[in-house]
Amino acid sequence: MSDPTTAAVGPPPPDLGPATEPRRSGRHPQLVIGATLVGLVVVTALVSLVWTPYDPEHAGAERLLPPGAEHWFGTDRFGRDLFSQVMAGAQITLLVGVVAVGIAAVVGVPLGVLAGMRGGRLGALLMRGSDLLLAFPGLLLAIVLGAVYGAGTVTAMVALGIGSIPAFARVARSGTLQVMRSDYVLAARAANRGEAAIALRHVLPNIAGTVLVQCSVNFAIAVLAEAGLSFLGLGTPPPTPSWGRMLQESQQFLGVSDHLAIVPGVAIAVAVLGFNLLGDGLRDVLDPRLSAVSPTERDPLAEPVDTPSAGPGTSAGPAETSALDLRDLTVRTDGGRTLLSGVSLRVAPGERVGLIGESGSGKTMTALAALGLLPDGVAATGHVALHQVPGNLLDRGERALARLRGEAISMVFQEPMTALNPLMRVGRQVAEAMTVHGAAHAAAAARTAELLAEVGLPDGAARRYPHELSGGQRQRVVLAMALANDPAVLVADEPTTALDVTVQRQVLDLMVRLVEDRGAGLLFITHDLAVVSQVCERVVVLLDGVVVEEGPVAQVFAQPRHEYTRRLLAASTLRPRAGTGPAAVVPGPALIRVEDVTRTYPGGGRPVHALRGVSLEVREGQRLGIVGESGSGKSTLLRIVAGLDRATSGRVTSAGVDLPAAPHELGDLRAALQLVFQDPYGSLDPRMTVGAIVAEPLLNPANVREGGPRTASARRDAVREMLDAVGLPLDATERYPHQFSGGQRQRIAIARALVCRPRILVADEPVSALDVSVRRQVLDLLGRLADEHALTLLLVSHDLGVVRHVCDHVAVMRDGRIVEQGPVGQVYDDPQHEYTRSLREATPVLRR
Amino acid sequence: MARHLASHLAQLVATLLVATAAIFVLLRVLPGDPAVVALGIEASPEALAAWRAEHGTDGPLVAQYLEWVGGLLTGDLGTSYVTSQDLTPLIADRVQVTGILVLLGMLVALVVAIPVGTLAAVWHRNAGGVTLSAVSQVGVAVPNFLVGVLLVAVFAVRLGWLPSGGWTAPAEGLGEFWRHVLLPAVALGSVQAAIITRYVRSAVLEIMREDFLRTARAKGLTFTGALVRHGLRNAGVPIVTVVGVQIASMLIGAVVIERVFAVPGLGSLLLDSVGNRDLLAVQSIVAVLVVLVVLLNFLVDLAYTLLDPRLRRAS
Repeated sequence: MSDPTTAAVGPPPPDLGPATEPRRSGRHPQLVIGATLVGLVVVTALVSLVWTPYDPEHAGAERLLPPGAEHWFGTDRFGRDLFSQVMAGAQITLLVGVVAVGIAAVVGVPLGVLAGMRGGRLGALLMRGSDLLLAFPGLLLAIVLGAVYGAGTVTAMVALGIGSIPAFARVARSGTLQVMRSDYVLAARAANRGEAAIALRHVLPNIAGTVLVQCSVNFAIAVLAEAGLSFLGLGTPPPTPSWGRMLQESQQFLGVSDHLAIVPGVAIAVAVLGFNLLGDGLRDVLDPRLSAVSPTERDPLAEPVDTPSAGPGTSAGPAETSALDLRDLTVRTDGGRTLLSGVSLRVAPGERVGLIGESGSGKTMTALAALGLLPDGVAATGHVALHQVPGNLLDRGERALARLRGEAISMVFQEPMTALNPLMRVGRQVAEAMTVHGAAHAAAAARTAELLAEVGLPDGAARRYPHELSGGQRQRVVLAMALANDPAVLVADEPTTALDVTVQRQVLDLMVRLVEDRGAGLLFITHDLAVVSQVCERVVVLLDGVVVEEGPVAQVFAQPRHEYTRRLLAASTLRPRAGTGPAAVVPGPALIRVEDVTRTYPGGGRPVHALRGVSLEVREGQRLGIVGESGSGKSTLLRIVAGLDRATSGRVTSAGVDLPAAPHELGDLRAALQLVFQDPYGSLDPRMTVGAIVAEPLLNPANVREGGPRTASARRDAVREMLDAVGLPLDATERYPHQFSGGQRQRIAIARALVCRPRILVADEPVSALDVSVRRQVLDLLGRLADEHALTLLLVSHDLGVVRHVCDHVAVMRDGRIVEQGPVGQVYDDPQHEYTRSLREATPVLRR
Repeated sequence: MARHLASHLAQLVATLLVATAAIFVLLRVLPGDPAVVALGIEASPEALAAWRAEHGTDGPLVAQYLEWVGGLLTGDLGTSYVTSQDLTPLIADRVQVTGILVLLGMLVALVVAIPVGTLAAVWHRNAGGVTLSAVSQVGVAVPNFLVGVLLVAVFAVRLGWLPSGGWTAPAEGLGEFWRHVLLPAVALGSVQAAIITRYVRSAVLEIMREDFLRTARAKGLTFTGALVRHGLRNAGVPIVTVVGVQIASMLIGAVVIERVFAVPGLGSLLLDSVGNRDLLAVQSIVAVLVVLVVLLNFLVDLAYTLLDPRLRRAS
């Protein structure tokens, strides 16, 4: 009995491996083997109901016969046929498994879903109760219940079932929590769907997979536990054949008739192995991280770009020495996909080169190849040379490469929150960059203090753990680490993309200064052309793994030669919306009125003040943008206005409904106000078709306006019309979200928001997850639809440029307050508040 | 930190109270009057009353519960209804035996699982890793009593190197102790080794994908160096949970191995008491087991806090 409580920790997480591409579907050996073994056990049990070679309970043959032609597995001490007994034993095994897993799932799953959806006291109490059962593993429970009510099959099944309830409750709860956090549930809430509808349509379908995996794994546990109980004489009573008891009875004949132990032992192992493999295989198939094959990264709606042939790639910059020299770099996956083809680029000592391109263009692969950090399953050919380092880096082994990394070439990564070891103080992590290259500990510690001061961290930062620092501070630590040994080249991969604008500016300035001080070359990777124009001297444009253009920044940005560069530049330039001068006055009545609203979240001992007294008015037909950095309270404000969160104090009226609204009024609000969320990957339920997603808001009759679609066919027509309006093909209705690109998904989300014909559209960072070229298209679509549908627009963004492109009015938020508001042109050109000024200063501007 | 500890302690106490109450209801209240259970339904009222007075089962149930829990706290586990033996020294002795067996079993498991699981993760793309992974998958499916039975068949019956069962306490001779404990510890540990190997493998695989491992390599550590210096401690956090849960389950799972090797552990005592319908003994043994399991979970939580500074933050 390995143990009936393995379930408590749950099965190990799936083996994803550091793979770079999704495993090909259709190849799941575990699933096939597991299903085959389980099938074998099931078929055996079924066949044994009607036929076995001999009567399994009848002692008719010679005793203790070894396996032979007559009795395939031999006979036992009473002369009973072992093969027949093993066949019949499968019945009990399956019966116990089915009932135990059934009890656990039927009780545990609703418990977990309820706890996950309700949260709060009730949720905590439910989980405590279920956790209490952890103290009574199934086996102990079976023994205890056996002592009171008598041992037997029923006691065993019930005890093992009860013992497995916590495992199912936990799995269901964590799955539910994950679903409840998703934007598609928020969207369903915004569409005024009840809790029951959310549970049935969104939660259950999305956790079904993990529950199924848990069933399979727990079946294996039940089989083992039943065998153990029978072995102890607490399971199925004789003469009914049971594998565990067969094993127990074999003990006295050890050394004489070993087959008595081996035969039932193998039967148990086969059944357990089968269910375990089936569970693992199911998990592989169902895990979206493994199966979600993303479509082409670029939005297929974007105009096609001629994939460049050779490109002007080899005409690298200055001919003299280079700090970093990549020649004809090609990177392929083991599967034969080409990620980079023939990339050549050079960074001269002291030069700052920008490498730009959209997601999937191969920017990061270029950097990783230069440092010899390519992930498993990906290999590079070509030539990588470093200043004063002989030979081709690609020919070096891991040890020889490691000596160069951090010493001659180093790297800063995109995500500061995960780039540092969470269990080690940052000072030690910086010092390690020196000690690993031979520095003495004392010298490294002293230099660490200098470096941390140089990157502008306060005294004592060295003793901090990463989680005690902000994102910007962590990126400073990474920078200190990368520059500790004065490398000849620094590679920075989107180093400020995850940071707020003002912090980005500080980190960029610091990086440029430090690199200049050291005379090091900088290879700066980014999707943001404006940042490149401010940081770099030369720029290289990458498209689908090929260099399509390169040259001095001023020249390339002023006179781009390649069509793709031209398009990228055009898409990056967001112009102010026409007619947004100070004179643009909107006459309509106020649709949204927010008066002195505060919102405080009770944190553990330290409440969080998300909003500290906000007043705002949006008039009909107005397009108001809310700008602010992370933590400014802009999303909280938006959710309160949308009726998805409630203010702690103050008054909110939205579309004529006073909030928080009574349930019967909520329909009026939903019909009038709809939302678009930030992450198009999280805001669409992956298990629903696009048609069902777009139609969902229409399912609550309260949302549908008079004369709106109220029948199934009318709904279908409305969905088609909407999909057409956002520029999606009509056959999209039958497809699933994962078959669409990010830009297309955001179009689907917009269609869902507009299908009820609302008067107000609220958009929370609708383009910040999208590539530059797609961003422009989605913004223009929003603008056009706002015109066509006479929408009032409320748009939240961290990007002043985005707001200026779409909106006529803007409110600037900071620390839960609005610090400035007015017409966009006025606020942008003549900011009154100091913070607005610093925000504008910090926002990178594309200089052409 | 202090606050964290206090809230955990409060939870621990609450859990123990509810758990012991559940045990009391299950074993003392539901089965009916223990006097009738002991003397049979035909016993005279006087005999029953005398039995109740002798064993202290004549007061109100709440008082009996409190007396029993009070006894647990002060180390008085009561007197067997059947053998009239004092249960405290008996159970204490058996806990020791099972404890030794479980800890040695876990040691066997960890010595195998940590290196093998790590290698299986590092080699996950080649034949070696796949083989290790497959072997561990099969190992998980083998019941530990089968391993026990087979070990006896080979090392005791065929080769005669080691005894097929029985127990010698360490105090009575270390040589004999080791001869007796080796096979049961290996039998108990081998299946655990397979289970924990799989957790180690997936924890290390998870860590290998972490950004900070790439950062460590970017500053000059080799892949192996980064894994050893930055990866393993991070992987240790989930592994500690598994080890804690597995030790808890082994405390009870050991009962089967104790049967195979005729080891006089807590599990054997539990089974014997169940066989004798000695319900007070069952009640106290189960309580001891549950207390041990709950304490282990508590210790795992504490270990977390020590391993991961993110949880140490005093709010």
